[in-house]
Amino acid sequence: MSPPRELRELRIALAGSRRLGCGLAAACDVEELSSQGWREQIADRRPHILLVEGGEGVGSAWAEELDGLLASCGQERVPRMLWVTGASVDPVLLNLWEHFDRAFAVGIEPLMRLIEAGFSVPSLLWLATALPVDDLPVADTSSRADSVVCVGGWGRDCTAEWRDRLIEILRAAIPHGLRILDFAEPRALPSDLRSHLDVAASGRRAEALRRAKLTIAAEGAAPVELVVPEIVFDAAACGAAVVSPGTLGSALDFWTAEPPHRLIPEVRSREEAAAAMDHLLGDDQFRERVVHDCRRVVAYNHTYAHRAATLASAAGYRLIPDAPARSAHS
Amino acid sequence: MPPRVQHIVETRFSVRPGGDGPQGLAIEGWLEERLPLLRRFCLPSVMAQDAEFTWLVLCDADTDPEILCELRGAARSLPAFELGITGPEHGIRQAALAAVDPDTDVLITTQLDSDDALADGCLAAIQAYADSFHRSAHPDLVVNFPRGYRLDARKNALYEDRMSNSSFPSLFERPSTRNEAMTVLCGPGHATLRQECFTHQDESMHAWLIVVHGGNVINRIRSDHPRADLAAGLSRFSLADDAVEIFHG
Repeated sequence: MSPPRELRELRIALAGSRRLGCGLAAACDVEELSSQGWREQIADRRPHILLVEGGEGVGSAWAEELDGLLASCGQERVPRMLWVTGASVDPVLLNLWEHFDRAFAVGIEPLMRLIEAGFSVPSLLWLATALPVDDLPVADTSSRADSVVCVGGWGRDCTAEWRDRLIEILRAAIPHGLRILDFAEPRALPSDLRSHLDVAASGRRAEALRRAKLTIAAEGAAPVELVVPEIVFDAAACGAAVVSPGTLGSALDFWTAEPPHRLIPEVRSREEAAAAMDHLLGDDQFRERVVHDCRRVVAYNHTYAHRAATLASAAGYRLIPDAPARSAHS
Repeated sequence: MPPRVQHIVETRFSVRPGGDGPQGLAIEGWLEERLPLLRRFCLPSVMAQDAEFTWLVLCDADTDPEILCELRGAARSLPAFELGITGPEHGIRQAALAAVDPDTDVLITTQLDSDDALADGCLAAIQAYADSFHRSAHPDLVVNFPRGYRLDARKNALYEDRMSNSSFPSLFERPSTRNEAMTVLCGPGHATLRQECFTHQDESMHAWLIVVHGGNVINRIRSDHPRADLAAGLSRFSLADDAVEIFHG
């Protein structure tokens, strides 16, 4: 094995981007490739890594070009990586398994699809936050304007179980004050919840999270195991507590040993959600501690600087994630 | 100017996790089983490392002198070997800190259990981060290799494993700029260390081997551990000739 090469800044050529472009751009030099102009783009600036984002379908334009892109990068010895950022994997990508050097996925289901297709031991790699974790003061969220904010919601292919669970959990939030932003299927909401939609705040996710004491991690289509939605990391960065309708799986990230408890309660019914929200919203000190611990976990492990450094290591480079500007304890 | 780097691999041999003193010796025969495992897996993997380091093996003062003698004998050809003795008056923390050079710019401590193994080149891969860490603004840093293997030594079966909080973390510190180093064994424990320290996950290699031998305190083979090719996987490690019979069959 050749020794790792040190990098000061990682340069990624990104194809098929839907969400990774913005996130990784906060941490490294990212060039989003176009399906028509990728040859010139790569010739102009050789990347350290080619990263293909998978998850919601690569689209017809890339479906025709991916083969050539992967072959070209292979010839140039540019490591070729796949990162599946959704619950499913486009069959186009599965058929190209031999052309990738490494593969990553955000959850167990897509990991199994990659293994079945022939990928050699893909690795679990969650999304992260691109928001600055340490530019905000930690203390005193008791004066925040909003109690409960729900950003995003069930997707097009959501299961009935997920939809029904989310509706009940949203209803549990109504007595506390609820705002719903950027809901993917607003017309599918029942009328008692539709009145809580805030269309004016659309697209201002970070601002909404910074105004809220608590958020419901409603992103996704199903309560998929070992998928931690991006909103969890963003909420932690913005100092909002989190209640999750889904199973977050690898609980040690958001689990404290002393005293043993989950930093993010996982709720499956209106009753469970009400109890969790009553506790988090009714006890400012408890919520402050939870928020502080979540911010620390995210600052130490789950920024896109961390993800860029991990991708770099998979390609044979060493790159330490950026240190926060100030201590996460401030 | 390159930083002064000290790398200590810390191994508890006859000191139980979380305990100082004679608790580690409570189970009769436990150490007699432990020594062959160290000889077959841990020791040869450490001896094969192509890096400069100290291997600090911690033993309780009440350990059977014959066991200590065998341990010293087994490691006699390893100059990096250092025996640290603990007892009621001199616990793990004191023994670990006694090995630390206070003038070191970058102290790296790596945890290694006495029945497990490190892949060839692992310590060099860890030390490759020393310069970057020294130049960074991090007061401390954990480097973890999430990829490794579990070996079912009873069945000679190898399994892929992945842990973002593996039992092989490496802690980077700056002892010359703080009152006292922590070292990895004296910290909060590998399960929650990355909740306390900035952590980097290195995906470059299968860096460790956990040996499941029936006498493990914690480690087991779980149904979600994918099967791996025994010969190919173990070729990444330097183990004793009699470590795995089928490997050489």
